[in-house]
Amino acid sequence: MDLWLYLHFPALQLDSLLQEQEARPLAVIDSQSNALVQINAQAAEQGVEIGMGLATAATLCRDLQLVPYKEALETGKLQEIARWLYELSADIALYPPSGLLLKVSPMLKLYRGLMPYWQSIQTLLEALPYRYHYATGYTPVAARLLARAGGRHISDDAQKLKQQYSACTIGQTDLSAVQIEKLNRLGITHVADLLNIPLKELSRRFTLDVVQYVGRLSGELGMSLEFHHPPEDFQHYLELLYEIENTSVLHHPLKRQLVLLEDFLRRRDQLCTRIQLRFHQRNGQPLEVTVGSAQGEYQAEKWLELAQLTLEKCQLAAPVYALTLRVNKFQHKEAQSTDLFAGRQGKCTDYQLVSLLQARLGQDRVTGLTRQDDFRPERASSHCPALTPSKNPNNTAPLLRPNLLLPEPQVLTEPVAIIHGPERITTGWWDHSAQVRDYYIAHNKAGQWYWLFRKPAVKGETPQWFLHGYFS
Amino acid sequence: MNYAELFCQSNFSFLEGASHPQELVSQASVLGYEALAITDECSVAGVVRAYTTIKQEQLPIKLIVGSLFRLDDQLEVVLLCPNRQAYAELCRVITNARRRSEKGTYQLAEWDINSLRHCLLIWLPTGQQDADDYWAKRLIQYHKTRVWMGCRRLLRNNEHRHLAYCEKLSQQHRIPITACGGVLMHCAERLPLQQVLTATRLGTSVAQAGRQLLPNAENSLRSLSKLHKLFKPEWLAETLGIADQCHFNLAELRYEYPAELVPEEETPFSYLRQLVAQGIEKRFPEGISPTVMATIEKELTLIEELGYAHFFLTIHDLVQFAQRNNILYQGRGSAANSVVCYCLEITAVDPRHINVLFERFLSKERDEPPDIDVDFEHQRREEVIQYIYEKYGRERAAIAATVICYRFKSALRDVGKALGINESQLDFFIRNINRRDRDTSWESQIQELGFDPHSATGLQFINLVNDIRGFPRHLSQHVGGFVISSGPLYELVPVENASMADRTVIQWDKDDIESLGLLKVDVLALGMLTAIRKSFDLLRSHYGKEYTLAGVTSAMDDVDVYRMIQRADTVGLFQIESRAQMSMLPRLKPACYYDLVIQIAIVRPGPIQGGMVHPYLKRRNGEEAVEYPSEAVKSVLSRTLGVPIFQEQVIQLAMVAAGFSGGEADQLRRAMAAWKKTGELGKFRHKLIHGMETRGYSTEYAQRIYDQICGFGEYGFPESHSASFALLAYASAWLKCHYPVVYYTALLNSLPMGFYSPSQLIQDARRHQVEVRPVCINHSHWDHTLEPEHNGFALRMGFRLVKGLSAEGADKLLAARPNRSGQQFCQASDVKRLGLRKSDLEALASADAFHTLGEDRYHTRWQLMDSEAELPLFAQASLDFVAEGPAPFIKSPSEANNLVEDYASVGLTLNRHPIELLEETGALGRYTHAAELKNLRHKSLVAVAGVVTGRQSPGTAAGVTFITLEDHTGNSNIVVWLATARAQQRSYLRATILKVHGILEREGDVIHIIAGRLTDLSPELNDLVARSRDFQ
Repeated sequence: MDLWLYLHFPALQLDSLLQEQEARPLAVIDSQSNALVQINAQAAEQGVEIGMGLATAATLCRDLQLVPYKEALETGKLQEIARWLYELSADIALYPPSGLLLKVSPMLKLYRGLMPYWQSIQTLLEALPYRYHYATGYTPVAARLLARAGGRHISDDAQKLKQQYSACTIGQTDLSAVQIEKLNRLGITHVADLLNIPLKELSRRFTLDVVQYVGRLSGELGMSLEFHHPPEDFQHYLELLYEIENTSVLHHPLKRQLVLLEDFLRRRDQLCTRIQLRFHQRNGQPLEVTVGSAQGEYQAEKWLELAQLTLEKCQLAAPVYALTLRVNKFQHKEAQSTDLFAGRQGKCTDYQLVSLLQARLGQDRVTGLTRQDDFRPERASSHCPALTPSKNPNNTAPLLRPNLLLPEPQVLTEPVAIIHGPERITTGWWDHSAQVRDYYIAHNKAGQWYWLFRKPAVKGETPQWFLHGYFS
Repeated sequence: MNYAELFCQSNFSFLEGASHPQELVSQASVLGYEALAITDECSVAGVVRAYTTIKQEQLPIKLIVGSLFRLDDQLEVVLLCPNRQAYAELCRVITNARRRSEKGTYQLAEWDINSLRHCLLIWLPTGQQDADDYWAKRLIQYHKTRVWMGCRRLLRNNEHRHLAYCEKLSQQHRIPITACGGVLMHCAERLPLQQVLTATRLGTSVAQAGRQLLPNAENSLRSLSKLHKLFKPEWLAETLGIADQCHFNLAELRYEYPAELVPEEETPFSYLRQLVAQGIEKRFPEGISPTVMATIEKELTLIEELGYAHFFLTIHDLVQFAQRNNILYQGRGSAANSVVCYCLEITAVDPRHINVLFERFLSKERDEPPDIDVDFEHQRREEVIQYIYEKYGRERAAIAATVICYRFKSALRDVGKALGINESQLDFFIRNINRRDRDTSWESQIQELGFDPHSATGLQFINLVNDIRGFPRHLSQHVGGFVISSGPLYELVPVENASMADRTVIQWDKDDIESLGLLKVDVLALGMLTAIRKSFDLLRSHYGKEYTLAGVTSAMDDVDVYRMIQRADTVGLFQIESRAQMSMLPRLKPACYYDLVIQIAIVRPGPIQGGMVHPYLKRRNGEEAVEYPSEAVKSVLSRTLGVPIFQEQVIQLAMVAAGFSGGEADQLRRAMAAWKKTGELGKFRHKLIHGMETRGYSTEYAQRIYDQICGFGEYGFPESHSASFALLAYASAWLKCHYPVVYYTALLNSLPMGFYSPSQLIQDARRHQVEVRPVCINHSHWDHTLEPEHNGFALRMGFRLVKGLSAEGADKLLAARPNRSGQQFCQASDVKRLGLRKSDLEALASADAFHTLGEDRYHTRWQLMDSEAELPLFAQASLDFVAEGPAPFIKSPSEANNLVEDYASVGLTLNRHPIELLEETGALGRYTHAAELKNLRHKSLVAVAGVVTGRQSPGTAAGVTFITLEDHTGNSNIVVWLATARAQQRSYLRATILKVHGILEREGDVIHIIAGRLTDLSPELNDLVARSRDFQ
């Protein structure tokens, strides 16, 4: 029988959060069940436990910081780990969101034994920030069971391994809660009890999944596995523990990602000419920044320099809570020279053009315009990151507004005849730029159509009139 | 020139209108409007409040009843009621539109509009040429002189164009134009709140809602001078012309009782008199005393004067139905405690015990409609409701509405969302703001939680939350208040769908109904009545004794019963079984019926917060002199030793001591009921204190009375209800005292109700020498039953306790059980052959229902799970298999395993208590059993251990948590102070088995343990179960 190694990462999401030095109690919460699924040591110290409800946890630990659980994020991390491990071990199967299964037997010759194999795996794992449990087993199910039960067992002694997984409780298996309950109600509380029962007897009383599980655990029944194939491109998502509002502070997390990229490129003997950075901002569109290096580069230091030059010109619209580094075009190191002489200057995409202009003129000088659904004329449109499409989310009817709006209202200095109005706007209290204005449509002696407004009279003064736009 | 506002929505247009109807009429009256129409969208839910305000404050303004309707973006029209017929028509249209649609929505049909014959229509063109032309033709065709076009000046963008369009439309179709406001707010300052409501309705924030919000505050009641600047004089004049045509007044609504209750040759009153005479024969077989007879005459005269005969007849009819069907009931409320009601068998409270109550029967002066609630057995109330629907039809009977209003939490959440505050932060605030903290306002608490109330957003947030509280959110169903009328209800008030299928509610709540002098009948459900009726049934079937509620409670002087109550041996009794009640009983020592009436009312948040309990106890024990500041006060308070305990006393005090008129006292009563919601009580303070001062009472006394009223708030308990509850409390105590096994059986068969779990009740039963027998496949029925034992009966646990067993499964089993011939199920496979569901069989096995057949529950369950034996071909084989003996790979349960299984399958154990088991292992260390606590001295150090069965932090005792610990000898009561709880949160919050070191405090027979150290011993039980495995 083949020997397997199962790696279980109990707190992938939590561990992947960039930890500050003085860590605060932190927990990952499943928003559906409202129960904690991962906690850090600081939280555990205060009595917080996994599986605890939010209310109890909050009472025990008032400054507990909460992060919602994201399965997709964990799966992504798992794929990343699989990619690293692929360098060391050939057959890897993913058990999303938090487990990896490695087929050990074929690797034993290469590594000359189980322990050397494990040592190289362990060296790699230790370099990653994730906690992990591990176990070997003669079936994938056995290895998984032991690892998920918190095991740290590397052995090829079948007898010893069986003894260990037999001591696991039924609750630690992958059986459904309903089946676990049914078994417990028969006094079958441990895997050993379950293995004592002949499969035939079991099959007369339990559904197929129980029988299959037991059969696969003991090896009486086989199972098919799908192994991991490494992807071609590089992508890394990093969630920040604290929101960052200043691009200069992004140095540290960015460097961490670029080092990973360097490692990736080095192993493949590749370069890349363009990296894409995506800054996930709290309220609104992510900020996309592309950094290019015409001759191709792989070193983290170099990329960091280039990225920082670009970033200095960027203004964050809102605090950044995560960033993604993506590279999807690579070239081999020697292929570099051919591209250099291909001479395809002058051809660039919209984004490249915008990056170029922004690099030259500064980020804030190159923006797009978008409509805002607001009564206040000053807020009816706003600048937005270049190339974001304009939209009217509420589908409200267009207003009668002048073609040309003055950047600043001007005091009205000439006599006019009022034709229509007033249109009264007295709203906007929520963002502290409430307006109180009466707008009128008027024309001057020359027949030019004006858009005017009047502010309410302050006591003792005559109300002031302002010109705010032209219809013609 | 004057103005009449014909288009105005209150906050009963939910999440649209931003002012209460009261605010709107008051403001319109201040502005000098001649009339105001309240025109909520497809609703008249707000008009009664406006009507009441005008009446109470005598405002010089005419109220017009109307409603706004919208039809698919094509039509917007306001209907106004010129007369009673139009009002009936409006109610019909609203009812139809509402009944076509789900709860909270409506669907208007074109036909609804075309069919109008009396309502006036104000049409609001939409600006879509095609739709407007279509509707202009339609409206003129059907309504000719009853239709106007409403034009608003709201100073919006492009308004000039819309006005021009309307004028053209008006000329083209010859429809006159009238001014109107489209009012949503009584003043401009409500704009932010209106925008918050709109954002909430749209499910977004004010910042995201953009131009879907109002651009300005012009949808408010505006000054006449401003209106004159905005509108043409002829448009304004038109409003007055329309208002002139509207004569309908809500006061015209005359409620007519269903006629069918009165025989043809009789008048309602003569018939009532006749029924009372029959009742006297039955209730007073030994003859009636002249005083009681005089009271009856007095009551009848009053009923005749006030015209309430029908009301009594209606209720009489309902209780007659209940009697015919052997449904136990009991009336309560001020009018229910009359001799007339006793004679009509509406209540069983014998007037000879409580003659003191009759003074507070109906009062002409107090201007209150009669109040009778009837409680029915909770499992059978639906039969009574169905009887009402059958008898009167759905057209004539419907349930009153309850207006669900914004309370603190919902206000905080919705305003927070509208301001774009993160939801998890709002959750955090809501969880951490302690509303019971009377010393720190929520505004300061939220500051402590890290919210900056001085920031601009902070101020807005706090103001908006405070403003929105008390705003109606939606209509819901009243618990059981029926309105029954002689004609179709929808001509009186619109009827809409409730969330419960087949239930309909009217658009008014109980205060509205009261204001209009309509009468409702409260049909309520009470679990204790079920338990008592089941007790009576068991006494009849097993003891051959015939008891009735009136019979059991006719004397109410059973010394044994009171002795039991004084010991606080009251687990499972009605009302006096809570821990708070139990700690009061040994102090108050009730010795007669009226003591019970007080006991029930005094252990309530009202008297506790009002500080009435200790003065009363002291006076009762003779430690404090009973004094009255005046004879008038003495007349009100003498029966409670000078301490106001009942709600009625507070109201009466306001009248005799502070000179409130009957009407004012009634307003005070309502304000008390709604105090938490509206905070309206403050406006009575001056009048009350001033009124008492001028009548010679000290300011200090006056202030104390006011504080007591505030403390009472919505929690004040009326004596008239307490009187009925005390009767049931006595009846339950009598049953428990004399027939414990019967009472526990009946009570367990009526669960869920009360404070205690089956486990707690059965332990209490066993402490009262009741033999309890386990669930058994051959002896149990669905319900718990009585089984003969050597000198009486034992309680046999029923299948209803078995978790996971379906009622159908149990039925099948019982139908097949060969019980009568003495034959029984001999093997588990006998039961299996009945074809029960697998889950049923497993549930029975785990409940150890097969224990008499020799096998343990694990093996039985294993055997029953075998699916192959279900095939006929294998039936024999499976029998052979059984004959082989138990499966060797299944072990037998240990005592600890059995304990776990008992709790998992029936929720209790008849074997040893977990604490007893743990004690044996030495896991608990030294501690005192609950039963031995009574031998310890006051202030002695003590340790107790037990299963945590209760954990309460009552609002009346800020910062204190009461924990109840159960061991095999009984319960101990632990008091945990806030600081102790905080310091030991881990044990305090999570323990299921707890050991407490503390100080014993004793006051008479009441024992508490003030917790010092808490130790969580929950893991010990798991260890015990695990260890028992290792022994095998």
